[in-house]
Amino acid sequence: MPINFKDVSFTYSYKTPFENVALNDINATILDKSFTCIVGKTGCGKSTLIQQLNGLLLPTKGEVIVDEFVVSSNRKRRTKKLANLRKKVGIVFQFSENQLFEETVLDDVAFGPTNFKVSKEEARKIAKECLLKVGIKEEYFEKSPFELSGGEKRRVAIAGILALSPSIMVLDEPTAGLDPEGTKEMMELLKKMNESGTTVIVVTHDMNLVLTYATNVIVMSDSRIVKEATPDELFLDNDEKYSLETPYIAKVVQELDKKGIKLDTKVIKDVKSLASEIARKRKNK
Amino acid sequence: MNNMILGRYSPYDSFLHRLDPRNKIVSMILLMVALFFQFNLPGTSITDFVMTFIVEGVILFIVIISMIVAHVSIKQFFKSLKAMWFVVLLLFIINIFIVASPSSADWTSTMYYYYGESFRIQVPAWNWDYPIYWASIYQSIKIVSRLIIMISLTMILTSTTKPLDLTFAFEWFMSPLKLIKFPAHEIAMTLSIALRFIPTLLDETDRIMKAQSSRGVDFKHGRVSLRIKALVALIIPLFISAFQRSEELADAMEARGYNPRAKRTHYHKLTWSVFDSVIILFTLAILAGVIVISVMNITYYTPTFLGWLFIALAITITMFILLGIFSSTRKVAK
Ligand SMILES: Nc1ncnc2c1ncn2[C@@H]1O[C@H](COP(=O)(O)OP(=O)(O)OP(=O)(O)O)[C@@H](O)[C@H]1O
Ligand SMILES: [Mg+2]
Repeated sequence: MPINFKDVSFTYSYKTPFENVALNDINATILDKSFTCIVGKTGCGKSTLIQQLNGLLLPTKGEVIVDEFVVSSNRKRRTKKLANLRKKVGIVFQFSENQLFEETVLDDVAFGPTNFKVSKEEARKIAKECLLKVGIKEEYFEKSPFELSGGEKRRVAIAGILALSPSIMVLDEPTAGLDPEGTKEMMELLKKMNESGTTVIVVTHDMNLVLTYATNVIVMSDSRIVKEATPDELFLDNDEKYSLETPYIAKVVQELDKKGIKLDTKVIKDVKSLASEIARKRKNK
Repeated sequence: MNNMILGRYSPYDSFLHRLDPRNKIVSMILLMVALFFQFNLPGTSITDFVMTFIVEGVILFIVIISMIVAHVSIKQFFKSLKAMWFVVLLLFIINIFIVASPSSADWTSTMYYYYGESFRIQVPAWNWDYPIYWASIYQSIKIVSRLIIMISLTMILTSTTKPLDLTFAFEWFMSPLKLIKFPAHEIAMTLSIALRFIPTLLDETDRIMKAQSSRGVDFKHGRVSLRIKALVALIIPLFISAFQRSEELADAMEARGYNPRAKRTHYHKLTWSVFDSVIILFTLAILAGVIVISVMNITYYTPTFLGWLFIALAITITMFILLGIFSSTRKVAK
């Protein structure tokens, strides 16, 4: 089941002197099992948009439909128990490393499942699996989360959401502040999750990652959605760039295009696929 | 988070917003003193009660007009008061049971004399029999109503004055103390930083609550033990980030060469206008009136009192209308 935004508007501090429109008439669909990236200038409403997905913020107008769940400020329409939706849609926030609080890493990850009536033992078992999945080694399990580095903390936070085994995983700028290696590992982790059937939604400013990993892109500007497309449509075919930075692979393809070498943009995701596409082109000639 | 609106600066441009913060602080204190005046008229506690309410009435009137002028929503005000119903209730109960319990009845003996014991709460099963005096009920009503008016006065101050202007005013008031090496500037700086970080901390609270809610924490429902756990999941990250922030800020200030002992000037100068003089004279007049009433034992049945009250109200209304004409209110961008 896809996620549907229907005429969603959201205003912070609604009906006070501090009103601040953050979302304006959003209509969009996020496909099931897709790897969707949400991009746009800072302050355009990306973080606000994803918080509608599990009812942390309720749209002031319109509704969000996730499977059988309806998120709306209309009490009659809204699903009664949003807690179950929170289990289905896991959100990892920007600076998620600030949400850790338990004494040990393992307990912190196990905290989520215990909120959903999983026994302590079971929760710890799940926590171990999730920590290993995000690449935290066993010797860290009994450490205090505050002893870890920023990047490690973030992985623990992600494991904390992963432990709820959500079918939709939303991450707000998960690679901000990570080194290139950490960024790659993070994205590979998300890719693996996506391949095992989880819908992954990522907010990011890094267009190179978008081109390499995303199957769908949502471009936002000024609290509206201005484009829904696949990455190759967005970066390789289209001239309008919605003031987005062009990924370096796309630049190479564009320059080759100017020199008269036309490539099949659909398959180009990274350096490797670019090279094999050029090789294929040469062979055909 | 919505009931945190109480006392938050609201970005309008009314004449109350434009008044000098020093004036607003002094005027507020003068009105509070007037509000808390006792009318110790011998043997006439009903007079005290009624006079208190007349004074409260006048001040309440000023408060309501100010709220209208400054675009402080009265509806919003009462909504935010809901957050403190517990305090009000507690005060009320404490007063009823303590202020005029038989032992303290001596203290308010005049009241006791005039109202006597009024009714008793009796619970035969516990062998419980407690007298409630009308005097104590009056006393409670007095205290609670004064408290509410006092809160609304401070709320007008804080919602029409930018926090930074408030600290400038405090620094100005404390500046004579600099002569005796009192760290007036440091205190003002600390205060303004603290004020500056309140919204940040509220945002942080909001963010952490959301992050923990995503992990299935329910802050609103559930067993007490679960809710305590939820609170821990909120407070620990909040404290850690607050400490981190304060450390970072201190380092950043030092890195930029902040020296608390340095002589400094302000970008914004506090300016005293004609309106300020009018307002402070007006509040002084009100306080003077209350003092005169109290000292000279004037009461509501003294001939000419109603005349004076009427004149006071008339002056208040005209003044606010005139000031309103001189200065239109409009919303300003944040
Ligand atoms: N808690 C809040 N209260 C009031 N306004 C807010 C709040 N959070 C965000 N906003 C406002 O809503 C708008 C959208 O903010 P949002 O955080 O969704 O942007 P964003 O696209 O995630 O930006 P970034 O890329 O910097 O994270 C901004 O104008 C912001 O000022
Ligand atoms: Mg954001």
